[in-house]
Amino acid sequence: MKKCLTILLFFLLLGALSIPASAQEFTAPAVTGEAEEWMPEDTDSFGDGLLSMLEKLLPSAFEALRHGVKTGLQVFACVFLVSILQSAGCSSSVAELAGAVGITTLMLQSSRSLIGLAVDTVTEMSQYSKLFLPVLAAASSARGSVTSSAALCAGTSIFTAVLTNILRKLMIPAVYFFLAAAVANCALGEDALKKIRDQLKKLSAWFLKSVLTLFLTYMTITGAVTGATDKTALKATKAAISAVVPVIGKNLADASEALLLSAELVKNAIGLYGIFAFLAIFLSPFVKIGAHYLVTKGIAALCGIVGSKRLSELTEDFSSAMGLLLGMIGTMCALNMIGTVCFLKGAT
Amino acid sequence: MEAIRQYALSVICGALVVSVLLDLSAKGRFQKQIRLVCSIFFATILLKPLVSLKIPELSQFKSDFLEQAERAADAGEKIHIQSLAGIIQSECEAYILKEARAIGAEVEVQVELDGGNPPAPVAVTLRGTFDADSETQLSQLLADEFGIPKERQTWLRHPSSHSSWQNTSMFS
Repeated sequence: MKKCLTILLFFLLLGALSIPASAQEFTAPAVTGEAEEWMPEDTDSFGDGLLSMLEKLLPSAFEALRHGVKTGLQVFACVFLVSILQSAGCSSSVAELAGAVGITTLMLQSSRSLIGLAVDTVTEMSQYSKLFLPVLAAASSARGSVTSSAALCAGTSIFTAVLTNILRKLMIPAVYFFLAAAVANCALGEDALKKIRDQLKKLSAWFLKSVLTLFLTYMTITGAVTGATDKTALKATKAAISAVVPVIGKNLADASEALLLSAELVKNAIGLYGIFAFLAIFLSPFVKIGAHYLVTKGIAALCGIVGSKRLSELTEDFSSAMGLLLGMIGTMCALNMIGTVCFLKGAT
Repeated sequence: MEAIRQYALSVICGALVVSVLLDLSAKGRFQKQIRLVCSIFFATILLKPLVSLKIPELSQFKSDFLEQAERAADAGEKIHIQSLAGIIQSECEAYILKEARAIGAEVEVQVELDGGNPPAPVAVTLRGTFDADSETQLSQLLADEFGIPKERQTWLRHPSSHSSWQNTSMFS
């Protein structure tokens, strides 16, 4: 009897301490399209969710690798044929020109589809970010981080918008121009084209690193400064509750703390879902482009053994173009994930 | 993608035109001038995407991104204050109910809060069964401890022989 009364009292107390469910009004926007199938079933645990995503991606990775190897072997066969023709007495420049045309024809189709995939990935991440950031900012603000949530949301939004604009209108044409310069350099052997090609690669890599460094610096400083403001505001609110609400104000500190904790849980759940969403959009294209990048790099090394230096360089250049694409989508994903993590860190 | 294809074509055509002109002027009188013109022409073609690049202007930044962020933050803050108001309201009602029972009044309590941050109780409605003494005691307690003056207290007594509420507020 005593035990039953104790259990009943426990549940009654639990009910008395229940917090209003208004924090549950926030839900992260659902991922749509192809990315939806990569989302883990359980988004509560980061480790388990990540493992689940990787397990789903493995078959796709093998398929992408198989496709890349098929194209790579065709390129290798082309280079091998050119070296046979050169050994048989064919003019070196003619053979290399033919080799350049052959390699370009084989690689261009897959390169164009992968460039298109990179553009679509950047666009999708940008569009999801526009839906996701306001929800996360509102959830963070409900937790008490009013100033920092507005600053972090604005910062992440502007960086995402600028980066998307520059990637689509400047860097993607730069990748095409890089490939055109690489093909022309292989066919004509012009030093000027080689320099243009090298400079483009360096500039693109430098730009992506700079954007990420700048963004990280901004978010760190903004988070620290506005976080301090929010901490002070939270303390002031707690003191105000004791002063303004008569009689019971002093006892409300625990209740308001519990309210903040429940808001923190909601914010963390939304943030974690967002991280998985960005990964779901990013991982599949990353695997496809990455597979082609690795295979092409390997084939370039093989071509260096059996074929001419220029053809090997051309294959290497196609691999570098894939590397640039990886850098672009990686930077976009990192930018959004860093922004989300800064929200999760918040004012503690 | 169409724009990218156009750009690639324009670069290739520009390169062809420039290489033909340079070849034709290789041993001519105006070789340096033609070389200069060709360089400017080709640089224009290469840098054309930069011209069409639209980085959000400061006014657009302020209107689109900053205001959206502030709206989101305000919405979250509003939810926080509403949740806090819910807790304050329920705790106030529970306390008043406890005090009412202590002096022998059976009442239902409804507290109204102001719109401040944090919200504070400003008015109260009590309905139930109570006598005049209980009403006086509880009314004084509400005025002294909660700062709710008698003008903002609504007392609705439910007499046993009638079915409708009677407003017995001293200042109704």
